[in-house]
Amino acid sequence: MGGRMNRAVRTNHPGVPGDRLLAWTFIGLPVLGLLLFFGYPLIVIGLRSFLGQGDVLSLAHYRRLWTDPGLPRVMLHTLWVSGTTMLLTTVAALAIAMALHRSRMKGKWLVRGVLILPLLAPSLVQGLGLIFLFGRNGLVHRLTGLPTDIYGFASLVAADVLYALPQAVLIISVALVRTDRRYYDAAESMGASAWRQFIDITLPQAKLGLLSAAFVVFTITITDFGNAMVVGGSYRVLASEIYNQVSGQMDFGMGATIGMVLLLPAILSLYIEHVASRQHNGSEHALPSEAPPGRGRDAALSMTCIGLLLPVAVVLATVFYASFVKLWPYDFSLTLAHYHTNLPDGYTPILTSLKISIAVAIFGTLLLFMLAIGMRRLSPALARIVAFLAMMPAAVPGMIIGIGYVLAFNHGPLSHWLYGSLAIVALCNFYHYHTQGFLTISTGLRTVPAALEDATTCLGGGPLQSTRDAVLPFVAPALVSTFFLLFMQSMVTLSAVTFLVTPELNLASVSVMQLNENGFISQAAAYSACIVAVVAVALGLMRLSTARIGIYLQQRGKLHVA
Amino acid sequence: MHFTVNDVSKSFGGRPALDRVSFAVGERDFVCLLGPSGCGKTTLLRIVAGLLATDSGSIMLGARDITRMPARERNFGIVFQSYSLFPNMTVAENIGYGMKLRGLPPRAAAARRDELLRLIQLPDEAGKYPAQLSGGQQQRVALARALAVDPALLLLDEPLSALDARVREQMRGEIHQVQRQLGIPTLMVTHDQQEALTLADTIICMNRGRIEQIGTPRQLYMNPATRFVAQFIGASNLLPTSWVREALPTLLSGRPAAPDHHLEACLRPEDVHATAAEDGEGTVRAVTFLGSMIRLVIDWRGRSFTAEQHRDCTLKPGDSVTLDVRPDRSAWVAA
Repeated sequence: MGGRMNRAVRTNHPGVPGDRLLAWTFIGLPVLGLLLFFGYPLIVIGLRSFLGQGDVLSLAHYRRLWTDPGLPRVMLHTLWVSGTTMLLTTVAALAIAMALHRSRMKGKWLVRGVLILPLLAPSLVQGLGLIFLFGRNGLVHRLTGLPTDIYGFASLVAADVLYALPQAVLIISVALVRTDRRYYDAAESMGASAWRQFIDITLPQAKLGLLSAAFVVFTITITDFGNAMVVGGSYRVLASEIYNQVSGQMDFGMGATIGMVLLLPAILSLYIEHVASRQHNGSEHALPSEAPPGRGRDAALSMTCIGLLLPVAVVLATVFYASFVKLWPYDFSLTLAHYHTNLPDGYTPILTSLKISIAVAIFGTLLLFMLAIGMRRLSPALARIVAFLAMMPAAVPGMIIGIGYVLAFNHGPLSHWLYGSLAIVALCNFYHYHTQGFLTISTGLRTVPAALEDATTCLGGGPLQSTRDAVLPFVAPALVSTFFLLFMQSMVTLSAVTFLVTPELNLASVSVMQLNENGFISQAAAYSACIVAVVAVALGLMRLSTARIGIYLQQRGKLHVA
Repeated sequence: MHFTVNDVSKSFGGRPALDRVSFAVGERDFVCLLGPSGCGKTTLLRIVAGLLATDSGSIMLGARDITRMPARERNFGIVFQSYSLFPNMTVAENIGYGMKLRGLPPRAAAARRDELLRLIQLPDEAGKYPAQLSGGQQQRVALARALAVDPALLLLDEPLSALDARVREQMRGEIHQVQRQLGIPTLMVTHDQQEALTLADTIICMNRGRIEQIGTPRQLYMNPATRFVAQFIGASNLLPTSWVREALPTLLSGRPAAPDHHLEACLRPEDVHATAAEDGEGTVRAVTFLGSMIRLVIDWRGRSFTAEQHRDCTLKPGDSVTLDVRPDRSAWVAA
């Protein structure tokens, strides 16, 4: 019996009156925030897409999707880019995940290291690197004299594959790890070949993981706006089109409508992920598979990894290197000039981004912790509703949140406080990345032994003591992870905040884009390198501190027998 | 009585988990709630602790009604199966936790802590973290932590179930000794009949949210009141009245008056004696070696009997035997 019953039961403690007030504050504040700073802008943008001329309800915007001279082609482009990226990335990610979890390949740590790289930089760095290598003034053109025009379909797909690859590998890896070793042992003892085992066990078991990875990649690509701006050129896709409509033509109605269109694949992808996580055949307690020796297989997978990951590393390394080079690709003497000349705003945008990211990390972690703790005192039905609300931001692409914020907060009662403030950017970033943090902390809370909380209560502790002494030590790793994840994502994010910057308030990632647009590509590279450095330090600190906390809890598994 | 539970009922989403349960715990009693999983014993313990509200009924501590008192004000000590120590506190900090919450002067708390460390035989482990201790040691620290606040009632929720068999046996002895020494009224939940029989002054045997029988271990074993108790505690041969009337009428002498299908005779395997005899009516069907004992399955007068005998017994499957049964060792239970 144990666990499940106890949890359901937790809600009807005979409590002290003050406890209830505390519980409602814990749940009320974060939910209010979600409704005001996520729900409200979303409703505003939805309504706006249905408002025609003279503010009457109409489908005019949606009709324009078909009748406009340019838009139907833009939509086809988008599908074509996202579909190609999805296919290529999923296959590539499967190969890398197989190398990581089904081989005895050497240097897995290196593969893992390279896979982290794209998470450290804004999503336009891939495009930037490709320009340095293959652009009109790129290395390849300089060395070979070949005519190179990289703006367009191929580069966009390449940049998006390099960007989306790590996340796809992560999702597929989970599916592979959850496949129990005993399936392979059984197949082996029945004489199945390695290839048969791959076809009959690995693929079917990872089916939902693959599907989920494919849809996540599709969504990332369709809503990725950094690379589309940098290497898309005249090959227009919906993500760059939104920016055009809103920032170029100030047509918020059409921007909102394209946003609503982009919402569809994102919701679909989240739904599939949800189904996949509920129906996965494997289990979290699966015995991990250990690959039998196989030199040929290991060699083939190693080559594949090198082939796929070398570009990821090279593209990023190029940006880093180019930031120190005097005049790419003509004069390769090293210089720090790009770090201090021709930067219109100096380092202010980086400082602003830092301030905002720290604020998001601190207040975001606090709010998410309150929400997760408070939810445990709710009845199961109510908790499900709140959980759904907390999960929704994952389905909403950043650009939509950004436009929603502009529509909801640039005018109206709150604009006085929010327009052009650090707060609006911080709120936007927090709610953009709300779901991942919420999931991390909720998962962490599940490791808290219910009996320890009960013991604290019986020893005379109130909710504050039991939170501090019984809950916090177990959730600490999740809180630390959430803190740094929020920080890192706030540093690199581009899509939502592009719409919120003002002449007085600029951000690091947006500056990179602007520098590149204005032809200061080496300065853009230098700025990117600064962002990567900050985020890398944060990542290092995160690894260090979670490892430290882990020492206390090394026997957590043992503590959890009940 | 020191502590009483009166007519407590509880249901979850319409499904009854406890049905009008009443019992009492005396000043220095060790009481066991014994039953299979799902019988409601853990729910009952949580209600007693105040971690769960009851639907109806009352709970009294001495003359005080504590039914609505929150858990943290009841001053009960509790020990769980899963040790449940604070992983980031040392042994000493864990034991001192309740005293700190109560604002005890540090000096008095330290003296009490040292005394408890000696009691649980871990005087030198005060500075260690739970992760550095064995399961048995962790459970002893949990016990000391619960005892530190001089609880009005000590609650033990399957405290030995997570331990290895050998450690469990040893801990059983230690819990027994500590409880006797301190004379603390104790309520323990367990599904292990052996644990209940060796530790308890009083056993409350539960099934499907109801109390089947309350009594001393000896009473429950020798005179089970219901068929469930006879089967849950020890093994038994249950014999329908109609069969007894024909095949073993000597047992009828102790039978209370009741319709035939209401009562069954209960015979413990060790009270059934088989002796080899050429012309015996019984036939040995199976022989199982249990170490100190031999278990026999014997067909006799149309029924299958279980008998246990000293391991010297040399009977083999197929042997013919006679059966001896002592009428004074039989009990009549509600069918």
